[in-house]
Amino acid sequence: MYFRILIFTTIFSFSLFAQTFSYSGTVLEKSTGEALIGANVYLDELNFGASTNISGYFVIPNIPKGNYTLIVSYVGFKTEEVKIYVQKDCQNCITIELSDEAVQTGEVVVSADSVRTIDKLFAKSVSKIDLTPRQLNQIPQAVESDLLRSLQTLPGITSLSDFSSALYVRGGTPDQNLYLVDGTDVYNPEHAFGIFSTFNTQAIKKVEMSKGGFGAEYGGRLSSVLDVTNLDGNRKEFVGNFNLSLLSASTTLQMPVGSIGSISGSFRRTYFDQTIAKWIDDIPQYYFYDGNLKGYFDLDKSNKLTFSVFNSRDDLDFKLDPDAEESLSFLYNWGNLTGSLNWKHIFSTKLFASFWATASRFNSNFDFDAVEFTEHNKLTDYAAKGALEYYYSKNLNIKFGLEQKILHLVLKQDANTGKVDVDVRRQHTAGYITTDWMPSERLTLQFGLRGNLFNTNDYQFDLAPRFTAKYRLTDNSNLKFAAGRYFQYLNRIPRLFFSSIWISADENIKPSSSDHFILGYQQEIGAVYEFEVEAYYKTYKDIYQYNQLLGSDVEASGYDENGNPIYSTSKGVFTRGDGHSYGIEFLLRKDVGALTGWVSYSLSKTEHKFDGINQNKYYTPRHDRTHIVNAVLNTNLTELFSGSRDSESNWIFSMNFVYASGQPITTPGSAYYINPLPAWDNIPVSGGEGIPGYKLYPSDINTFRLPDYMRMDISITWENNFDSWSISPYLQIFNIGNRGNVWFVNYNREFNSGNIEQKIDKTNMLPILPSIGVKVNF
Amino acid sequence: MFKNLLIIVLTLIFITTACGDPVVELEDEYEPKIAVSAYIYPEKRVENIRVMRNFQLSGDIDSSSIILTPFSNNVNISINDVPLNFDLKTFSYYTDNLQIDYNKEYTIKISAVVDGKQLYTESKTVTPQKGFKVTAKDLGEIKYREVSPTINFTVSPGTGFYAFSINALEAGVNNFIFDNPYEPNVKPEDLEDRLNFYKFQMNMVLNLNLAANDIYEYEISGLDTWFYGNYEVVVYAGNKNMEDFVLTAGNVQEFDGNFHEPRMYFEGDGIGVFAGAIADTVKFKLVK
Repeated sequence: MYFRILIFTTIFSFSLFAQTFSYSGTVLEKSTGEALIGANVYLDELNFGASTNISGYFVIPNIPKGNYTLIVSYVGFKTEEVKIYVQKDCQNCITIELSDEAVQTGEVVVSADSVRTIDKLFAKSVSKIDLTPRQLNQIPQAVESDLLRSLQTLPGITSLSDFSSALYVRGGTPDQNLYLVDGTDVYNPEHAFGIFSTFNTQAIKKVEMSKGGFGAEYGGRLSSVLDVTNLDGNRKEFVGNFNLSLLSASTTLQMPVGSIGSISGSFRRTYFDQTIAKWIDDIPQYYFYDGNLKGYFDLDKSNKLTFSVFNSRDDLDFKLDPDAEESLSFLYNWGNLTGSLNWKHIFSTKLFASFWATASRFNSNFDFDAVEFTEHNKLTDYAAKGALEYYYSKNLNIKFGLEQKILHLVLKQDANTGKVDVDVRRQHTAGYITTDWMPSERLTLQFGLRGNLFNTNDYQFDLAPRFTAKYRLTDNSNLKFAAGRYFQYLNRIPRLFFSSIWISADENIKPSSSDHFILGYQQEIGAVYEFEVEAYYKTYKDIYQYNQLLGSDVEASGYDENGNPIYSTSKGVFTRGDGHSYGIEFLLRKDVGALTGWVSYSLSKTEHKFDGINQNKYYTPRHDRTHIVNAVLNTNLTELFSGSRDSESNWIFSMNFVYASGQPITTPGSAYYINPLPAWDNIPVSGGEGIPGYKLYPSDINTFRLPDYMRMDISITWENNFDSWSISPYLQIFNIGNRGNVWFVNYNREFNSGNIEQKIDKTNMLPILPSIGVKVNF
Repeated sequence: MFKNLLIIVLTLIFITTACGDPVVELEDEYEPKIAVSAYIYPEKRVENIRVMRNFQLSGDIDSSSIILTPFSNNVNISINDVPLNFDLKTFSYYTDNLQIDYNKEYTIKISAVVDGKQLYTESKTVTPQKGFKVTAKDLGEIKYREVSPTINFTVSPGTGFYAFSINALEAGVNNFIFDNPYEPNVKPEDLEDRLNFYKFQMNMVLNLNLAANDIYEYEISGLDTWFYGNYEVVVYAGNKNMEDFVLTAGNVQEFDGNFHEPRMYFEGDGIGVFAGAIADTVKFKLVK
């Protein structure tokens, strides 16, 4: 009997499907022709629909024949309604352009027709945060806007110091973050020894940050994914902007290419080597630049082609005494070069595909002639990727894909007394499948599985399951859960001054793995406020950190004809460890209206246990911050005080406040005197200053905490709009309270009549740092 | 109106909060330790063994109390159970009753009372094998920047670590090489305070792998000679204990200011070094 019922229902189901059709199309921004990602598209009569993907493409399956009202909405844009008649499958048969009139006028309409805040929150992946270029550029920063520094204002993401743009996400280290620019991996995205990141915020279209629990389409890193999409280019008209800060000058230009596409290009370069350094001798000859070029082409209704190229370079020519004919000097340069070709193809109404060919190269070169030392460091990553989305029904979507990477890691160091000669090639093959299943109106389940095959000197195969559940608790609240296993096959050696080196898993380094468990609650408050709470637990297995006793532990792999060592393996370079992080984050955010921003609080704990460190006991790593409070506020003062936005002139005020618990540090428990070498008999037996024999002996690892970190930054922008262009001079003040946030502690001593006076003082991070600049849009 | 007030109040609160200059107050985690500087050399007398103490970071150090003596600290020290004597002239320990051989293990045992606390430590070390020897002990006169001083030596089989103490014997302001190509802007008045910084130079070779009687050529870098005049270079073929001490004891602070543990081979309450080495000396004179 049951069998008959099953057959009947199955046949009935298929017969139902046979009478329905799929309808697909594209949603674009009216003023630029750029694809809108994540726009909400639904049929009013059936009360169901879909969201647009990264190409602005949407598919609504299972529509019975008939007339419908298609409603397209996107936060900050005017909602559009289109009457459609569905009688057959319709492949990309409509292009809807949304006007950003709401943003221009400042009147943000939140009505029954537009996407509700709670729906937007529900559609969002667990632990994912989106930032628009406008938000990125409004957050006040040191000297000029910076993508990674802006992300440090979000809950769960922190930095180590004012001098670093590196991201520590939920207890993870910077090498555990995957950076993608237009689908291409970027390694070491750092300018100026890590102070700034290489991403030019003027060229960015969209930023998506996944702090954990990310889907099976992403892999290769343990902690987070930063997915940056650059501007495709304006398909309607030639537009551009120019930005001049105390650090750099930059420009972004966009233009249509006939009727088939668009092109955009950005370039940024520091200029103090051409200005201040000409007059002040102590400023070294240093500059950096970065630039990108992107083209977008609509080949036909079903085929889109995008190419993207990114290049960045830092160049330092240091001479201790620039005026002297001969002086201690070295040359150092580093940078990234990436390129990607992306073909998006609509196979059928239900099957959307995206194929990439990408290449990424990071390299650095160092030449220190005085000690006859040279270094060449290079990492190349060639990848071919295919990602397909199959819209099976309104309740079931399937995503699957394949990725093949070829990695080439080179490190050559040449000194008189030894060489480093690492030259390895690795292949990483990955495949994934993800199903988005909506068993009821309130519940969405996502099951994912990613398989990794990594070729070391042996083959390493890992399966990484992923799971997400999203449940609509009430009309204005959601409950979410995500869990997953993540693998990483590359490790980074951070170094002082020098750019980081990446080393792959091999016979000495096991692949690292991490399990994520995340529980989240979301609530819409007063229609425009988003409130989110997320608790997480994260484990780390076989993670690696730079071995501080490297010089003592590293083993030669061979020897040259003079008996000098040649190092070509990773043996002794890293220390293996395990760990865990857990915490809870609260975020209150408002993206629309005259007053936007967010306030967040995070409570977290990270513990590591590394072989041979702290007697193999757990300890707190340096990046652990127990409490962090962030507040980011952007407001149009003109609108706030006069009640409406001025079409010609506006004053924009932004502020960023951060409070963080002090970082854990190891203190030297005591000092002692001992000869560096037996021949240096300097011990001050009878007093007097000897050669440096004073040594510090550390206490337990990271048991002391530095004073709490606090900083307040503000910016004021005067926006002046004219017919076809605008000019916005701005003033930014970093650390306006000039708080002396402690970077590290110094231990000094002075000799005085047989006594050694010991002194403890501190080195602070950045003081108050005002800067000015101007932005011109045309 | 409420919004305006809120922004103004928030801004003022945040600015007021995010100012000031916090003070670092370190908790005292001091534990008394016996700091040992002990090198033994095959076929040489056991001498210049120093036994010292560590100090709290807060407060001053009375330099006369650095050395631990049998009289004030009840020090008992032995190597392979042969007691060492205290030399009042050099404030160090010695013995004439112990023969140090090549490639042999030795154990040092020390007990002492520091800050009223009875401390004990011991450490083992193995002396290098025979073979290390400098082939030319006097390099004569060497013209600065025309010829590099080059030390040739035969290695100790199994020993990969060689350290070089480069000491400008007559270092002074008068014979400093002011027209050097590395720091041409050093001024005489700055030099007086930093004389030892230039006078004592140190370098090393790691993981050297040569067979017995093979000769290694070590070229002294220009960055290790800052004065004209006579130099004494002591070359050490050091065992693992010495290598790890030299590499890690002075290198406990990381680039972000944090500290990590050095690698030392003491059990109990000891820190420092107990190492076996072979030493040889080279002389040369650097002239214009």
